[in-house]
Amino acid sequence: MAKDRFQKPGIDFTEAFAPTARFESIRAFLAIAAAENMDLIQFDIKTAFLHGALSEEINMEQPRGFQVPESMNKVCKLLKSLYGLWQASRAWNPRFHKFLTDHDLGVSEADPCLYCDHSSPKSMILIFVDDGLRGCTNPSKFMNIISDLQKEFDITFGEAGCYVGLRITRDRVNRTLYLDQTRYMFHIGHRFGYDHCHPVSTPADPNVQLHSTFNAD
Amino acid sequence: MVGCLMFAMVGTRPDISYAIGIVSKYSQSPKRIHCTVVRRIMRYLKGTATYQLYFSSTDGVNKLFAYSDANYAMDIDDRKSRSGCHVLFNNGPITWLSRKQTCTSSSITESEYIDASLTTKEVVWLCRLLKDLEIPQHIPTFLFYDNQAAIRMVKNPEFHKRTKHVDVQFHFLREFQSNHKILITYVPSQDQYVDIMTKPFPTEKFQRFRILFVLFQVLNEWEYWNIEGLG
Repeated sequence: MAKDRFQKPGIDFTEAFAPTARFESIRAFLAIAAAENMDLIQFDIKTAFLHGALSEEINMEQPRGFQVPESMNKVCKLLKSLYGLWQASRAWNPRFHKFLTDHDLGVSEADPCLYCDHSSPKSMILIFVDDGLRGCTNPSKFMNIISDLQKEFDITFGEAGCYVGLRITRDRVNRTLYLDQTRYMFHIGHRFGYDHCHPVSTPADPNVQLHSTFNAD
Repeated sequence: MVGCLMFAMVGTRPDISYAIGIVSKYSQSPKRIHCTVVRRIMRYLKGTATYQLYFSSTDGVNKLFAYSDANYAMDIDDRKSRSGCHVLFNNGPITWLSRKQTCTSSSITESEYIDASLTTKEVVWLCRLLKDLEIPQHIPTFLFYDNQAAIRMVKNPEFHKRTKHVDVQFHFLREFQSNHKILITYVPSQDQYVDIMTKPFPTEKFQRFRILFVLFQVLNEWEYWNIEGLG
């Protein structure tokens, strides 16, 4: 882990945010995938942040156990990003962007996390930092990028099941798709102690009006 | 806790967006009553945890539809209106929002007009996204609306003494109407289901409108745990 608390904004890093896909884009993506009966695969890039190249100059102490005895007073200059750096996720994004554009995928103007191929068998990729969702109508073309990804990075992939907390259930025959967060609902219910409460049928009570000047505590 | 609920709302639950919207306003200094309201949302979610959004392709026309509605001066503190919108693609819900309007409007028509322009922004963004995905929208998007006066206001760009103060930023809606990107259509108020994103409703009406959000219970809790296993 890098010592991010010593990093100063403007000197050691400028931008720290990586673009993440909007939920609207995810739903639009899935709606299209359902309508066009696409194959869907979800992949996760392991140790993604280690692939990012750094644009700022950052030095670090020699890691303990790996010091070079004859040059103990020297430091290492980082060429690639490390986990724990402020800009780790930011540095990763252009790296992956380059990989995808090299594979003829164009970035969408509307959402920088959406990449699509403008040739005839429709194919598209959505990225959420290091989680990706791949949809394609053509099965042979479908695996091309996945196998290239495997060569380039270390990835795990499988049938789309649970993408950024949204559980995807599909019925390929009827071309329908369901999306839910049931597990998350139970999780927050458990976390805040609502395991055994009585359910109500509406989320808001029409008889309660909220305003900011309540006198009660 | 409100943040956790918010994540559920932006993910798959348009039905709680109104309830979340009103309590998140008070997250700075919550009082006991606000906690009661949050608890109610949790209890509601507890009962409807397995509800799922549904995407289908039965019509296969790849079209966008938008519904929008506003609730005039519903905020007791500053009398601003709340607007709600819901955009569907192929009958699958894509975007929803329930938002307090940034300016105070002086009439229902005005708040509906502002709301329609908010919805138009969402539609324009989605059209761009779909164009990038090779599904360009050639036919105008239908925007369903339950206020005749606001529709008139969009269709006749006349300068009127009651509308002269409406900010320029909301008039871009007229441009989209006139170049046929958007077609504003009237829908009777009792069918305007987006209402549940702008005000609270009693159970029977709420449940009737919730179905129109394409949010169904496919599995009950017991079936869910049978499939997923106790994890």
